Amino acid sequence: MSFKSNVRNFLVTHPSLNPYNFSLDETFRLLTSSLRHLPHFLIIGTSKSGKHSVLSYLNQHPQIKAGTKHNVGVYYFDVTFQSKSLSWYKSHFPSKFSKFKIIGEASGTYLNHPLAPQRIKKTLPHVKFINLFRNPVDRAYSAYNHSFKLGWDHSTFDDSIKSEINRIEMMRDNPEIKIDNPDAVNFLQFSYLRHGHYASNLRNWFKIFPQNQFKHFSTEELDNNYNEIMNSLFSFFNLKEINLKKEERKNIGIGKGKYPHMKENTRDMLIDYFKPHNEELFSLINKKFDWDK
Amino acid sequence: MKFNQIIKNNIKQHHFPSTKKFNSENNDEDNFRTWNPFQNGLSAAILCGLEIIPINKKSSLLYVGQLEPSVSLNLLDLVENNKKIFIYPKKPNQFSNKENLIQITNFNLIKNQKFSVIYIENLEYSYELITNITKSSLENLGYLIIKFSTLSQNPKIFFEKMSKQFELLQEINIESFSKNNFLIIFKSRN
Repeated sequence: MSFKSNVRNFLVTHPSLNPYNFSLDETFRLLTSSLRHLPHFLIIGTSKSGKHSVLSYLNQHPQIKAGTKHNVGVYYFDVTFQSKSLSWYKSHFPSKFSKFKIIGEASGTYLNHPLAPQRIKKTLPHVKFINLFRNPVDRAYSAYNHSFKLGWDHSTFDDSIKSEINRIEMMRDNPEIKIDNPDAVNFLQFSYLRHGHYASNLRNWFKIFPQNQFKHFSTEELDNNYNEIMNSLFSFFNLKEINLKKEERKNIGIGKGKYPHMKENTRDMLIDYFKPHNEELFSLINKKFDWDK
Repeated sequence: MKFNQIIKNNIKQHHFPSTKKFNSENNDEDNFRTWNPFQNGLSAAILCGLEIIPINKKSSLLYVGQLEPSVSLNLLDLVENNKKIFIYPKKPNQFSNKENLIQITNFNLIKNQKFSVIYIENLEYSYELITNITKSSLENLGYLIIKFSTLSQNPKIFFEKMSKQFELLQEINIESFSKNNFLIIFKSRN
């Protein structure tokens, strides 16, 4: 191997020593992490459900800081838990001297990760959880279009769904061929359907946290009742209620516009597919959403 | 199969290039082989979310493409040195003259043999050649694994052609390790 390849390999395997990754702001935040808040609430679910819009409503409250400087969430308890420290996680949040009393982040993939509840229990046992559920049919199609536009998926929506159903059946019938990698469920492009199995994902959380630490609502009701829903969250955080301004929906079609409608027969098939999962969720959270259309 | 078991190896590390020893979580004495995702498309795919590996100790494998020494060891790990792996390289490869790795220079040599898995490491081969290989050598309901570069073919056209004969199982973008590359697993429809 040449000297150049050796240097390249060293920098790839030691990213913290890579001078091209150095950032003054990140270093300052890391050094002051002990003076920073840990989050008081987490929006754990779900991806493609309108987290950006919820954060824009929450941030209208003068005492709340939701999301981070660069993203809506940190994705610490699923993606970076094994490679990053708690100080690194804290470095994303405001300092204890700031005007904000309630801090939160929205990593919508925590809900699906099988190890996230235990990890959060150890670090943030009293944190409050918010679940934003979207009709799983629309959620799956939105996730597919996200992946397709980014070039992660080249097949049609129908083929992608069929391949996921095939994989689910193969892993169930023939566990020998399954790669037992808990992080794989986090990849948006492989779990269009499984990210919509809200009830089975939520059961993992209810085994570890009491139900009164959770608030659930749907993307569809947010559009019509944003004032009521957001104020119920402010009360949940023991903050005073305020009057909110209507916000436009955020982050639609990852900045590349809307996508074509789903085929009717695919929608019908998916409504049937998700029906038992939805019913299970409604009985689990004692709340019903109008998702049969 | 456990995620860690696919990189498990009982042979001592210093016999092989690109390998590294580390302790397992249970602190037992096993040695492990690190798969190099920059060299091995399958290894990159695992890190990028591959959910199933249809290669195990019961699989008969035909590998089409240039085989890196470390990758051949990874494949032997998967078949647990239990089966012979047939290789059809673009150029003859010295390393493949090894027990359990059988190099072939012509497909006529394996005319009567059927494989449960065919792995095409780099799709510089034409669609027609892929069809011929799979028709003559892939078992019914066998698996086809292809490492595919978006520069060599238009993915949309490729998927349309392949979907006539195969069912897509998973498409994995491995660009983080291999620029413009995908790994795709198909299952034969017949």
